[in-house]
Amino acid sequence: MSTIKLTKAQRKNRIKLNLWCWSFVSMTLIFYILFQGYPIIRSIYYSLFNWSGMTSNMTYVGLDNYKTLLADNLFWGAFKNSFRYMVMVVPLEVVISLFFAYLLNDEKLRGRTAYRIMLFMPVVVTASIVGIVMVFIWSSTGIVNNTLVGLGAIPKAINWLGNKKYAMQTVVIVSVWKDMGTYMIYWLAALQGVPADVIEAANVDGATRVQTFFRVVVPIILPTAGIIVILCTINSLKAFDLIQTLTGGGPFYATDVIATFVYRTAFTSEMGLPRFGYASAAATLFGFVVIIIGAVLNTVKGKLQQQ
Amino acid sequence: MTVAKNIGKKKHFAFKPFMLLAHAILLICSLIWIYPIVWTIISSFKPQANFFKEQLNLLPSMMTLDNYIRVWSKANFTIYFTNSVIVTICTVALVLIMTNMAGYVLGRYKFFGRGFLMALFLSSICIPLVSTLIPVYQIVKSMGLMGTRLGLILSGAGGAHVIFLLLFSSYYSTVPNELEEAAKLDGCGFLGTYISVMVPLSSPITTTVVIMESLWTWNAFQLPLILTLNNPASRTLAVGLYAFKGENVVDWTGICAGGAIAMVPIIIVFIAFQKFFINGMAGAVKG
Amino acid sequence: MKTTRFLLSLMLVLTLCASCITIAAADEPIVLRVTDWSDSTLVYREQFHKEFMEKNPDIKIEYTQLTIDQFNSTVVGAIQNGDGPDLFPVPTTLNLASVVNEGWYLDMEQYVSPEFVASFLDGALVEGVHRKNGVLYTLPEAGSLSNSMLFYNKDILAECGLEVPTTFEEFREACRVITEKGAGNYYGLIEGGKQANRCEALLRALAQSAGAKLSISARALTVDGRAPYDSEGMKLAAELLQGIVEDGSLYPDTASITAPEARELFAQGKAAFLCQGLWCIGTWANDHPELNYGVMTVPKGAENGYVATVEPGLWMGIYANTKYPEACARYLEALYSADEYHYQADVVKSGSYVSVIKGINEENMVDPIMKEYYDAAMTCIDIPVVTSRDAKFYDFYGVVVGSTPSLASIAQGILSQAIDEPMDYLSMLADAETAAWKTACSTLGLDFAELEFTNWVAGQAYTAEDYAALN
Repeated sequence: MSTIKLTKAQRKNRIKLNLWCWSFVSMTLIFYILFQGYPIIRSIYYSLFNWSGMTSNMTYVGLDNYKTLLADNLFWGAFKNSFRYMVMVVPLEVVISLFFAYLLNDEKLRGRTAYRIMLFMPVVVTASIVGIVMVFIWSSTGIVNNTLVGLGAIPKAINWLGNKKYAMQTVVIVSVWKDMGTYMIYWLAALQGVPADVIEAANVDGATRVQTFFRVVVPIILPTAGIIVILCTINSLKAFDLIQTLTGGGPFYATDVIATFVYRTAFTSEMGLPRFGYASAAATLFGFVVIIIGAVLNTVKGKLQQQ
Repeated sequence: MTVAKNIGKKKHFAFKPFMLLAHAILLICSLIWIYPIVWTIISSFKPQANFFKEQLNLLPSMMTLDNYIRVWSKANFTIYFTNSVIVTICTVALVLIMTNMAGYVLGRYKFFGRGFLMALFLSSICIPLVSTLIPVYQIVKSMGLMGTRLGLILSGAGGAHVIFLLLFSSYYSTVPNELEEAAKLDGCGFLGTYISVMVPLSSPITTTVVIMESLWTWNAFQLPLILTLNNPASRTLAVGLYAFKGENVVDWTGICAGGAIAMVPIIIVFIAFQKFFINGMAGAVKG
Repeated sequence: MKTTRFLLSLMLVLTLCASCITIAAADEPIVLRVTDWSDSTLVYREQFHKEFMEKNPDIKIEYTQLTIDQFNSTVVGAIQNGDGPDLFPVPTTLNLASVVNEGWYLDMEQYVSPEFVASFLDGALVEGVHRKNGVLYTLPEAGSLSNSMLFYNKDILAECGLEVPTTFEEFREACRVITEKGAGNYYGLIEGGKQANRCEALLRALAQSAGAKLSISARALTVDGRAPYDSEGMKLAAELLQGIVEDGSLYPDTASITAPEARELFAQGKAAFLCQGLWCIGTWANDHPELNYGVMTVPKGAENGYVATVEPGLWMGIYANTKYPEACARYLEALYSADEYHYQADVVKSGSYVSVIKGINEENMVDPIMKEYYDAAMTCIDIPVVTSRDAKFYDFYGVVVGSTPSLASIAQGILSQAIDEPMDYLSMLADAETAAWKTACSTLGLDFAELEFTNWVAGQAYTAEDYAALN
């Protein structure tokens, strides 16, 4: 960073620091290479093959899978849906979870533990149970339709999950409900970085709650906030379990996202064999697009941090 | 921390209407949030035949423990439960230690190769994988750990820890420098500063990691299944409970009962750990 | 703060401890690992395992039951790496030719007795399906019956004063009348519309019943050099379904429920008709003994309409890497035993399966509704199958790439009203599949023309003589 020549002692310290740092990351790095890096490389490798994943019969096809993908309408449909889903989920998820976390971070709020537990509950429930419950809740005689019809908001019951117009929005609502607790936890952790005395000081100065939040809290949690938003974005782009159990990508591909497309292509087939290689190519191609988006977000975060 | 608390008590910036509104919002949302879960738990006491008939009824006409008995015996409960507990605790510990250490240096030091590592970790979580199962399976096999709990622990810990790494590093980056310098003045070395000053400060993220990683490990299904395919003795609960959803026949109330059982330990972990969401930083600065 | 540090160290200690715990491996009996997805007979299977272990104390059965998807995405990987279960079924997407190429299964007859093989019904073990070049690799789980039969609720029909509909017009009208009469309590037709495969089964059965020349599911067959997905019969079937949906006679949640959910709602009297398979009977007998229902083939859409038989199924074989082939053989002999064990008798009695073992069905098919199903299924006729004409076509299914949107998705689209013009999609599918089949044929050097059966008349059974006449 600095152009000043380092003394011998400083240089020695430098080396020592680097050694410490690398020994601290080494364990993570080993695990990363074994259980994340290697699978990613395998996946990219598979994407160059025409392979069912079922038999040992693999044919090298170079970039053919990618070429086919570019002309695959269903892939682009899923691609679009993934981003549609992300655009709807991320703002809702981030804002709602921050709202609850901020409320529940207040030490003077009575019963905050109980609220925290209740709001966290859906995170604990497995996707298969969510699948069962939601079929009832959103059914034609379910609580959502009954309430809305009762209030006169809709003239007659709607099949929320089975109608191509509403299926995506319904999945988004369920997903916000299911995952809000996760992000609430992240926010609660981030909010611990805000010293209470700083807030006190702001209040002494006569700032309102909203002003305190934006002027004092937000700048302090910004670095972690950036990470939370990035995580939320990436998770929403990779969303699978919930969509698979709620709609399986249907009706007629209305909620088909990349992950469901990839799963269906890799492990099922209606005629012939599944296409593991092709699915790997779809995942890889999509991954690179997400990396670009991730890089952009990271730059934005960096810019915000500088401010 | 005590100081911060005292200040809070003296000053009255929580005026009543605000609190009332907060409670109203929280109460309504909480009820909506837990409705499906309450329903699941109640359904787990319903006889199979009443499950569809009563659908969303929260007051069942008949209660039975049959589902729990069935689940308990079918899921080999005692063995699988013990396995799950061991695997979860160890995986969480492992993930916690390694991500905390790595997050610390990545968040606080500009060492050689840091930028590269950050880019590597960040970009790799973006790639959705068709399946990590086969490569991970091959690695565990080549380590000679097939069908062992250690294999489950190592492969489980290798999973999603990048997320926690990022959380730790961004959190550590917000810790004020004075703390570190004070420790150095006290004669603490690199390791000493980390253990005596930094680790205690990280309790909020530690809590997050414990809660989320317990949840994931506890519910992990596919990897534990394939790794214990040939040794059911080391299977976890999630693998055992899955058997209630078949190809053509679904045991709905069994799934609800299994789900309810599986939920309990995680909720206990949550209750036990959520109180560590306390202002670590303020306490350290002040006290 | 101290707590955190304490917890950290505690966890570290625990990790080390757990690593040292070794799994108890005493001188236990032979452990046979069996994996499949036969959930509809699970109860009887477990009883069988108990009995088997009592009679064979040297063997312990570890049975894992999964869904087909789970099996494909997990177990197949283990099989490839040499760690498969001792006994497992052929994955639904593969055929015998490919699993034999992979070397997954043992030649069963080296271990099972000749009497065992002889106990199977004549024609149950088929060359190309269970045997390759005369070597027996896998066994069928049960007799294959069509799984697209129409169940009807007799009480609802009686309440509405309706007879069992036999034509498309009558069927649509019946559904309409029932829905009107039901006034929200019950509807005409229900299906597990979330599962595209069930939608396809219904559409395919209706199309064949409207005289469409159509292969069975997942198989290729051409008419006039083309994949026959936009034929007149298919159009009639699609229009019938569209009509039922437009009339509002389809159970409103159909598009978002699975087949088991649809089956359960049918049993609750929420709909008058349901198109599913034999497995319903056993489930209803257990959970809804009061249900008053009948079963028949789907209504006729044309004079030359027909219901097609299904291919003989292939199921379990002995894993090539098993350490205990003799024990596996003992397991299979017991599972299919006609006298010593009663698994076969139990599944037939309960209405879950039709057995492939001699003498079982006659004695145990006591359930009248099962007899009804069986009789209805017996009216099914054979349709031409390309692999029967030329065994080389088994390889075809290892190479062909299915087109999308598939027939299943289109069928689902019709039922969920997601598509308005199904014929457009069906024509597109027909074009795409024709091209894909041509590509697969040319890759393998097969003659595309062999997919066509010029002497096939819709509505008439296709016989061995017909195959012979082609050559």
